[in-house]
Amino acid sequence: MKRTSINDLDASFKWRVARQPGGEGITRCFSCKACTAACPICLIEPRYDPRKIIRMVLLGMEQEVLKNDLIWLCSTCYGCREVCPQDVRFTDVMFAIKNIAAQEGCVPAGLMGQKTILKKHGRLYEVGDFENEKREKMGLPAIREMADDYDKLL
Amino acid sequence: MSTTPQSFSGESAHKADAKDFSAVLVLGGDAVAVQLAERLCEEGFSVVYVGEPEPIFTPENYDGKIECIANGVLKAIHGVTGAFYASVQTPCGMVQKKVGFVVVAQPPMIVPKYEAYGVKPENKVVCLSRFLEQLQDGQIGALGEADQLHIAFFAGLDGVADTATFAKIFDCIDVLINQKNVQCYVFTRHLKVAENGLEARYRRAREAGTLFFAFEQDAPVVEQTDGVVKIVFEDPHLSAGFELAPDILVLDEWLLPPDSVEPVCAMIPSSLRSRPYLTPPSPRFPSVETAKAGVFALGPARGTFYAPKLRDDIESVVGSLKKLITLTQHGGSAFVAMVEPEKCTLCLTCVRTCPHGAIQFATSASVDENSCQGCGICVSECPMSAIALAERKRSPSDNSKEQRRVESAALHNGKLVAFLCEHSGANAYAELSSALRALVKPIVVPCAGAVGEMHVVQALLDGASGVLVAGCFDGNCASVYGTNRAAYRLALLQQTLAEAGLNKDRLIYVPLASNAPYILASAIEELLRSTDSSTQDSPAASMS
Repeated sequence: MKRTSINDLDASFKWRVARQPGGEGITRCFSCKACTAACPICLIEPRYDPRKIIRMVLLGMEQEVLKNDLIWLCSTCYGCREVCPQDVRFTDVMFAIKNIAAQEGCVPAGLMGQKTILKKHGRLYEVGDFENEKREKMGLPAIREMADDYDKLL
Repeated sequence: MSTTPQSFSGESAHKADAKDFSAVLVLGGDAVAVQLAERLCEEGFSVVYVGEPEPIFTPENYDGKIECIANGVLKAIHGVTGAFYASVQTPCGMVQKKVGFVVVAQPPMIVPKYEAYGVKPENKVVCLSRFLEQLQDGQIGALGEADQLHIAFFAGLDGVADTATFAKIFDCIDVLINQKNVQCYVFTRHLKVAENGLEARYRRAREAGTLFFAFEQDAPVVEQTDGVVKIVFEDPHLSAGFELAPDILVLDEWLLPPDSVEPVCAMIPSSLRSRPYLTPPSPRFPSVETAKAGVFALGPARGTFYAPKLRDDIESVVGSLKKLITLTQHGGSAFVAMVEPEKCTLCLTCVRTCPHGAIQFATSASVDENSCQGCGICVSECPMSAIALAERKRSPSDNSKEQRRVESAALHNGKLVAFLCEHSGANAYAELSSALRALVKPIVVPCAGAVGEMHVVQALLDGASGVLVAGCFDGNCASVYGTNRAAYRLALLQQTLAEAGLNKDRLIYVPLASNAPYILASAIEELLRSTDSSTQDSPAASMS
């Protein structure tokens, strides 16, 4: 079996996550697997396992976590947070991990594409004349794209 | 207080002495024993403290009440509660003491597990006690220069670690978490941290970044080559292979009971069942009490090592001592064994078999009333029928017990006879349906071990169609091995019956508990089935 040397890993990675807002709870985890059982994503994609992600962070497997597309699968349903007996707040931990991943430039291409659309149109799909004409016929107000606002936010 | 050495030469001497319940012999060796000695003084006992190193007793008013035999080793002890005679070896020769009670409170033997883990001690591999000492001396501080210091702890990878081991590991971690760049790992099988106070420490260690690995199956392998130590393992959560080259590998230790309690064990025949511990593995014995009245085991001697529990043990000893003194006034159990000196041939069967070490001997065997638990094992063991159970004078509140007892196993009219241990069988019998109860003639006995071959045969001769003996489960017996003796005897008797051409299934032995009347019910039904077909070969008919 391929072995990972713990000496080559970054033991301070967990503190980096813990320093992010929302990441404080990570060291409280005692690997009870309640989050995994509650996770709807894990049902569809067993490779996404909250418990394992926490374990990898605690072990300091920085690259393996950040460069893994799986971390972006979280649908923020807060199911894990509901069931956690240790108040780890895993959904918030995921935000912390994703923030670090973004800082490191480890964002999947699809997500970057979404960002580009958001930046351009202010929403995840373009609203053109076609949609607004339809809305007018139905007596609905037209939608304005407020790309500038989102640009500021981003 | 002290007696002349001559009085120790023969066992006969101590019978003449009056009992004295004020002096306690404390076999100590660490702060816990000192604390116990001081606590006993507060309660008005005088203490003889034996053990090295020399203890430091703090308040001055203990002077005179604590007699300290520093650097002493207990060489021999005999006697019964109220009159124990101890011979203590000191650098200045043998010292003899008479005491009322004995408390074994020595510190544990600590043996590092180097061999169990297959590693050699070196700079990077230390045992837990040594490492904690180094930490407390501040010696590890110098190591903190490295970028990252990995410290691995092993805890019970060969089986189970005691809570005291985890407490010690947390002691180490508490020091280490204050240092930068130290990463601790704990490798174990069972995280035994549910003990009072330990769970919070576990949580604190975890939140400080310590990583815990609890292996269910494959334990880590240690590779040790040319000063490089490497732990190879599979993470139980990620199911992936890892290796760790720790800067320090800390191995746990076996915590063993003190090895110097042989003289005390020799006084208690049933301690063979609990070796190396002094207290029987039976829930019928309160924590610190041994099978022999007046002998108590505190902490390591009874397999308890966790510090907060040792403090509880001290209070338990004080409580048990007081209880024993109260009981000596009216007797602990309903019965007491009495020896008829004329019949006694000094074969010492009773001395060997009394689980409570209550029998002494001089010109004949004699039972110590304060130590006798009235179990009746000696009665059925005595080959000369020289011992009988007599009723002890009791307080009126015990009368209900007396009414339950059926004294005579007169004519049974083809009924089943059930010998019921008063600790389990009698209670289970009371829970049976009245129809079932009517089928059986109950005879309540103090312990299943009191039922001898002759009792069973007599019941058959008196017309019983079958005999049932109900004792406690193995390990539950209030007389340590009474239930085992009953099982053994019944099996022998069954064999004899079979050899005599009789139906051996007319005898049955059932171990049960008070809350399991269904076991008794099914045993009765089984006995009914096997006796239905065998009423013809009644021993009453064939023996007479």
